[in-house]
Amino acid sequence: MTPFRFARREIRHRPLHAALFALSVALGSGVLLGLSGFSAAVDRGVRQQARELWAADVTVEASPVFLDALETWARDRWPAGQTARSVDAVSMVRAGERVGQATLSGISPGYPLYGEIRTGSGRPVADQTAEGLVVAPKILAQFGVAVGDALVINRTAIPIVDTLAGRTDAPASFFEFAPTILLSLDRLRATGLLAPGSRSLNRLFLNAPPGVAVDTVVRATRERAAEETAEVRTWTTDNPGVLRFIQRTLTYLGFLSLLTLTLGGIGVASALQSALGAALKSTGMILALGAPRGFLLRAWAAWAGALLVAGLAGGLVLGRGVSFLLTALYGDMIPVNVSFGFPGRALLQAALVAGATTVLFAALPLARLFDVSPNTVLSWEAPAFAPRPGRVAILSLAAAPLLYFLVWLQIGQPVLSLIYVAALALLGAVATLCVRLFLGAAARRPAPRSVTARLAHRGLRRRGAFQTASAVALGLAFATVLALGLIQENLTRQMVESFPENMPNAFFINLQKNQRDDFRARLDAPIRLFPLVRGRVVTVNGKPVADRRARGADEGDRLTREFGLTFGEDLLPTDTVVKGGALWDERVEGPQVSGFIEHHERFGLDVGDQIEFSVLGRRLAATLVSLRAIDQKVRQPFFYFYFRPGVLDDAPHTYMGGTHLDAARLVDVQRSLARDMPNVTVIDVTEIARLTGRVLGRLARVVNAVGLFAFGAGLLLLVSSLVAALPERRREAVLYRTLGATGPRVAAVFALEFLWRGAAASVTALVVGPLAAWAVVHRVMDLPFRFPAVAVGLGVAAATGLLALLSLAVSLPALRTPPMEVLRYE
Amino acid sequence: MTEPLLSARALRKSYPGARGPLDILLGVNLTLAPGEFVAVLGASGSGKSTLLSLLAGLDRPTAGEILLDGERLDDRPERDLARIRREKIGFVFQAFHLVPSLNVIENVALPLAFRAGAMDEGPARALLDALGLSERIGHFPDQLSGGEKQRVALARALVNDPKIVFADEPTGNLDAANGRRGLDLLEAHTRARGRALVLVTHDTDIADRADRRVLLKDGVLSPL
Repeated sequence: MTPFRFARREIRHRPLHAALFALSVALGSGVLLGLSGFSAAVDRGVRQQARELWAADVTVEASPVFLDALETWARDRWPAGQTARSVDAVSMVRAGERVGQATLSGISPGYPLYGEIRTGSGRPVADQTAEGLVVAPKILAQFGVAVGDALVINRTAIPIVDTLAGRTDAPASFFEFAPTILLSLDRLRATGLLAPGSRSLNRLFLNAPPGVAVDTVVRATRERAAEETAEVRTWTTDNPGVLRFIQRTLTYLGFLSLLTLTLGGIGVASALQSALGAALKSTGMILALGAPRGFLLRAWAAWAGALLVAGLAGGLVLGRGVSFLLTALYGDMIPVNVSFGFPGRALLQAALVAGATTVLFAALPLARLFDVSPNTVLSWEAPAFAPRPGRVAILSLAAAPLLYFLVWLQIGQPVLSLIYVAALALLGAVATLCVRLFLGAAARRPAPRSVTARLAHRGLRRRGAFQTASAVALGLAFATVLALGLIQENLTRQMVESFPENMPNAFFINLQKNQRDDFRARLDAPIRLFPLVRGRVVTVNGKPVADRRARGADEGDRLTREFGLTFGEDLLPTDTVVKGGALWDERVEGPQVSGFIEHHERFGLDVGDQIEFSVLGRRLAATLVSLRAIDQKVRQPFFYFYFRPGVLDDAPHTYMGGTHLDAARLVDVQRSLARDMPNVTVIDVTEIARLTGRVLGRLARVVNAVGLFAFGAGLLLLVSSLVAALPERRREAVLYRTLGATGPRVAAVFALEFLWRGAAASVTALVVGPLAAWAVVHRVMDLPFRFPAVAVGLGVAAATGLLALLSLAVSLPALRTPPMEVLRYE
Repeated sequence: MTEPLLSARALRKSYPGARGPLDILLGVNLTLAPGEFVAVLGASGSGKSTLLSLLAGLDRPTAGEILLDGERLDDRPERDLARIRREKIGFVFQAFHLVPSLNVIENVALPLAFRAGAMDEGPARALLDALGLSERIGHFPDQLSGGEKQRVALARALVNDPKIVFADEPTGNLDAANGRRGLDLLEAHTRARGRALVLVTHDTDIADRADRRVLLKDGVLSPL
């Protein structure tokens, strides 16, 4: 008898245990494989469509003055190269009495340099924008207009000549705040909206000429643009912002999938433990016949190995389904075509992580083989092995670094992986404590008088078969679903639905200096107007700012981007001075600026630094005299760089401010401004909230779908531990019926015990879930956390009942066992 | 003439097999008077345990009739059989079959608890005292010796004051001394109280203590 033959026989003889093992592997690995496959498909799509997404080899964002000079330089340097320009600005647009926001996208002929913009008529977009406006179909519905009608932009009526049918450079309209209107750059400039200081996104596009490598153009452009700290990006190395967002969500989904894998691992251990328990007599017999323990270890390792392969194959199939599901759920959030090939490397890596995790979790049950004695064959009651906390501790300590390595391999970020493993260990410890305390307290209660309750109460003392582990895992799975729901509820309520009366719900930008009095009169509401200048940080203490690396995560804000600068004497409503003593320093001569404390933490800016800014092509330097913390919950405009008066006052600037208006009043104000001050853009914050809600809602779908797999893994583990306890329940049921209990009473005993155990998992979820949700909402997102106790309580109670019903259903065979199957002595 | 306590007529029992039904009992007849001790002998696999399960209402015959204390067992619903078992029948098994999660007194009080719906430990305590187990009432089965387990099993069989006790090889797992002691106790607490005892055994020495011995062979019962 070879170990492999033994393993094959065992699988055939006890197919249920084998199936539970393989299913646990499949479920645990399936989500990971699916996510890896989906991520790889998105990456492939991005690589294949990168050029079209960026519309050119090189993209530069900077002020229009600098871009003019850069374009001239590029044309001189590479006469055979191609260039194009675009300007994006959000503006009010009017059609009759209807007023609304739109993103005006002015493009030069030849744009895009790669890809295409398709029009509804099929005519080239360059021809159409020369004639008038090419609008997103939403515009027609929003303004009640058709092709041929005119839209008024800053008092200029421009005809709509076509609709936008699709575009490769910005395919994800899902994130669009205001629908797009394409027009020629010249026409956009002619509207007068692009006054110096007005808020707009200016870009230059360059294509490398034939025979010149893209890298060459990128390097040269970066050198040239360094003095202005302009953003230079290329499709060869950068991802568009929306893709970075998607990839970040996939990273966090990766953690959920690893949790599912962990729960699947516990399921694997439970199924293996249960199979070993069922085969205890045979194991004792084999040892009694003289087999070395190594044989048993190899045999059961072969058993686990064969089922691991089967489980991984199942996981691949499930994973493919998960990939398709994610594609459907993300929907039009993904800006590229996702095509599923066979992403070998990604799948191999995910399979390696899943396989190694399974092996880790199988180690502890396999170690129990050393506890089995040959004289097991002589005893006719199954021996109960004492728990080995020492062995568990040693194996856990040995497995922890390996588990961390596997997480790091999958996620690719060492610090985040460490935080994840530590958080999982902490939550696992809290969950175990909850289950032990709950079941322990329940078991220590005085035994009830009612025989049904007493027998159920005694059933809580049932040992082995992963009773505690399954309750912990189920509690964690439950907690995952609860935490996700609480995070969603809090974010939706605070970021989408709630709007305190005293918080601004409308912001006004691009207001000119000479319009302030008229504006205030039209508004007839208190508002503070902030002067606004666009500028970039160029050097700090004489060194180019591009050389400053962010500390900590590579993601997050950049010092090289364009900032909104303002000036004033008093402290802004959002701010607190945290370094420097006071906002301004009377001892410092010359221009002063106050900075943002996070720039100190991330980029090392400090009080006393000399900072040089580029404002509309002109350089100005100021001393950093203080650092502020900004409370973004105050919902007033906030500024990372705040100048003392006397520096920016003469620079061309506009004004902005926010206030709270009721919905009807806001519509009136929008109409009035669109008619008489069309340069002023009104940002209705509820529109942003609506977009946020749309994004959150879509993300919730994705996250909940993946979270459900984690819950499924917990349920599978529950089934596994119930199957393991089935022999004992069979005996008990038969004994009780033999001694005169009716079938319904026996069922009631089990049901009550299952309610207790389900309650242990639920109580654990009630502790761990809100804790995790609080950590995300309050500590990570810096929002207040609310716990809807009644709704959660009802949900948890219902779930406990359902768990008890499921447990009873799985345990039904025990209730139907003929008595002599158990009572006959063999 | 007293009415028999137990009467079994033309009992047949078959189980479905791979190649057709497996006949275990082929027409067994047995009567038992109140207080009578009957030993059922037979080789291993002769169907002794099957016969016991039918007589105790744990299984249904394929054909035939069983009357216990005037009540038919062969055509009763499970609910009635459960009532009969908790009111009139006691069991002692070779494997004892104590519930591992219940302590001694709870194991013994179970039949009464199923009758009353609540745990009343009084009668159980008295019985355990009589059997010399008063020091062990809070212990669990895995803390007891073989002989102690047998006494607990005996106490459980008697706590509901049954009319008949069925014992399936009750001393099979004990050493000779404990086995003798166990049998003495079993006899003392059944015959002395007018309870009938049906004891299945393959041990002729034990069978010799019975009022009547019957042999189960080839599916039929014959007196010895």
